[in-house]
Amino acid sequence: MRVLLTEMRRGEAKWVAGLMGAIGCYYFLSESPAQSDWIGWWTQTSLRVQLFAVIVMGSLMSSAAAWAAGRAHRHQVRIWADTTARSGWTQSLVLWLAAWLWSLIAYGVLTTVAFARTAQVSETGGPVWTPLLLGASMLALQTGVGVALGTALPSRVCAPFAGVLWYGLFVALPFVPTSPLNKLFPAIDEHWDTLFEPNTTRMLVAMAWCLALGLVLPALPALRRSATVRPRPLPLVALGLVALTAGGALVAFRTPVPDSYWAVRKAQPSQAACATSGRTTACLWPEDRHLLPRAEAAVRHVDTGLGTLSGLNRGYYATGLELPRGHTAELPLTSPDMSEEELTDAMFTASLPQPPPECEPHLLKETGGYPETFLFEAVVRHRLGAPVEYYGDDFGAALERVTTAPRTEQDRWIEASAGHIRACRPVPALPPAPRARP
Amino acid sequence: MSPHNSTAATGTEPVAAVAGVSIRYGSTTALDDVTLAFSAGVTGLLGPNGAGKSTLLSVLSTARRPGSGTLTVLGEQAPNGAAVRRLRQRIGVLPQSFGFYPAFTVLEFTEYAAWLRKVPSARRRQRAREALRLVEMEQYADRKMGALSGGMLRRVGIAQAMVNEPALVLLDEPTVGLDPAQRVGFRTLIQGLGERCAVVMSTHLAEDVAHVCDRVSVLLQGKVRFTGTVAELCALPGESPEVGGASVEAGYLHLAGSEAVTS
Repeated sequence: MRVLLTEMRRGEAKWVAGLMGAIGCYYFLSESPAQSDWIGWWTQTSLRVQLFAVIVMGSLMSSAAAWAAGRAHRHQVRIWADTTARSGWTQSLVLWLAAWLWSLIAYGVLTTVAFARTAQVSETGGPVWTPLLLGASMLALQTGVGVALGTALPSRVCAPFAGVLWYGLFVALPFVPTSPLNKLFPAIDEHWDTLFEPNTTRMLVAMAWCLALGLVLPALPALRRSATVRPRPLPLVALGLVALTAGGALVAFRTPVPDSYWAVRKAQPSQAACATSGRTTACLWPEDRHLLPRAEAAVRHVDTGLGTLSGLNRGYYATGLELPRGHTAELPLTSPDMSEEELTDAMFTASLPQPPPECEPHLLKETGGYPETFLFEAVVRHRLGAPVEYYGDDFGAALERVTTAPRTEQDRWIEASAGHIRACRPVPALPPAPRARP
Repeated sequence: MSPHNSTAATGTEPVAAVAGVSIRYGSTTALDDVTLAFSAGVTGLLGPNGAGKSTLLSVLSTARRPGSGTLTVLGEQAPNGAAVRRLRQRIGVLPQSFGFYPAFTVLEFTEYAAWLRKVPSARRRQRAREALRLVEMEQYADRKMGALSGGMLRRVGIAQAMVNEPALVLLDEPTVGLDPAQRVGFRTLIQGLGERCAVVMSTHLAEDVAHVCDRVSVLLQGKVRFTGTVAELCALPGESPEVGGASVEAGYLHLAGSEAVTS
């Protein structure tokens, strides 16, 4: 224990871990909740911490471990250390453990900072541990690779190479998404909607793989050194078997293509967090309960704006929630800290009827050749007082023809058009131009 | 030249012995059919650079397996596997180029050596302090290794070799690089070690042998040319004109002949 503490105190890993902790804190503290896609979502926060820890901190800690492992050679300690009763593997494991513990300390700080930020936005839920544990195991593997490389190739060049190797791997892997390396070296750079939760089984298997391999790798250089005491075969073989089995299982696991390898879909909540006003309802996942007051205000605004119009969607359900029959639509949440305005806008958009997926867009001559759905959206948005996209003078004139028409005529056109769009039929003729009206 | 072997052997059970040991590095023969036994007290391995002294020490430390012949250390014959693990807990080694971690304190480094030599954790700190006291370095326990002089480093080197209370200590050229005053102090230290355990010390300095060793073996080109007491080496016939008088140098030069003088 004291030897481990001495190594932690005197080794180089502490400087790198400290640097990584400082950079990580800056990274997690500098992001604004309004712009963030993770502050407020506990699972996403776990993923973000895991990603930073593995790609940035893990790569550098691997370098630090390689540097520490080469120290015995550089300072000529290995000459006599190899003649002692302690095996080369055990010697390497102390270096591995010291570097890993420093990584975990920095990791713990980052996790605390990141979750503190999420807790400021959302009181519902708590830290999701499995991605964090997977990240810790990956750090163990990365450190193990560093120690193995640094012991086998103790030159000063090797240490930075270990970090470059890891970073390069993580940069390259997204270009080959089908590669099994994505499963074996997980750095989960994904955005999970609230409907996903970690695939605990896979993550535990991956943890076993990472930890076992991280422990085995430092033994390999010791096998080559004739002077040092050989590692005991039993633990080495046992760990090797665990790594082999877990790694094989990871490669063998399959997932339905659109879903993440590391996630499973959540069960429907027994009670969604819903806000209703008049004829309009918006429902969120219970984890997004913190958005409910803003959603209530947004629903009121939308309901007032849409009034008694029929044909438009009046029920909005957060992505992943089961849509009831009738005029309902998915409500995508882009950020866990969406403002009332953003929620209102998302609901406006969700209120628009959608043509069937196989429907070819109908281009409207009066708009200058734009699809009729563009005009329909512009009319509804204008009606609600929301900003409208500008698509040219012809489009503007067509919009004016509808929006300047008498209210009843407008309503009739909107309601009829909604039905036509859903049925993949061209929208009815536009109301006459203002000057052509009686 | 035939090897000189003392008829008055050690008189005690050998702590370590090699019989017919040969080691080759490619086309170079480092040790050639070496047979030697080492008992309690300080035994010197005298020979020029490249004579095979360090190779023999590495065989005795179990770090290198002999290509042929047998090794017996502390009662274990031809040790391997678990026996090596066991044996190394009772052997201390100070290599010629003693490496250390400059950032460690003297105490931390000695404790690290104790851990490497598998001293039980409950006794590690105490043993480290005792070993430092033995080499008169206890007052520097909190000093960084990187801040020590060459002589102090050698003393810490001895401390790390003694930290596990070994039955056999192997010192490879322990006085190289020390100034005359340090060397004198070091000889006294090594003599003291010889009263605690068996010490095998390789050196190419005849005066080290003369002052420190109870027995001496002369290695030349991988072969044992002499084994006996220091007095017996001094008493070899034929005084060297370069050295004059009966001395270790004279005895050594008598064995080495003109080749050693030129080298």
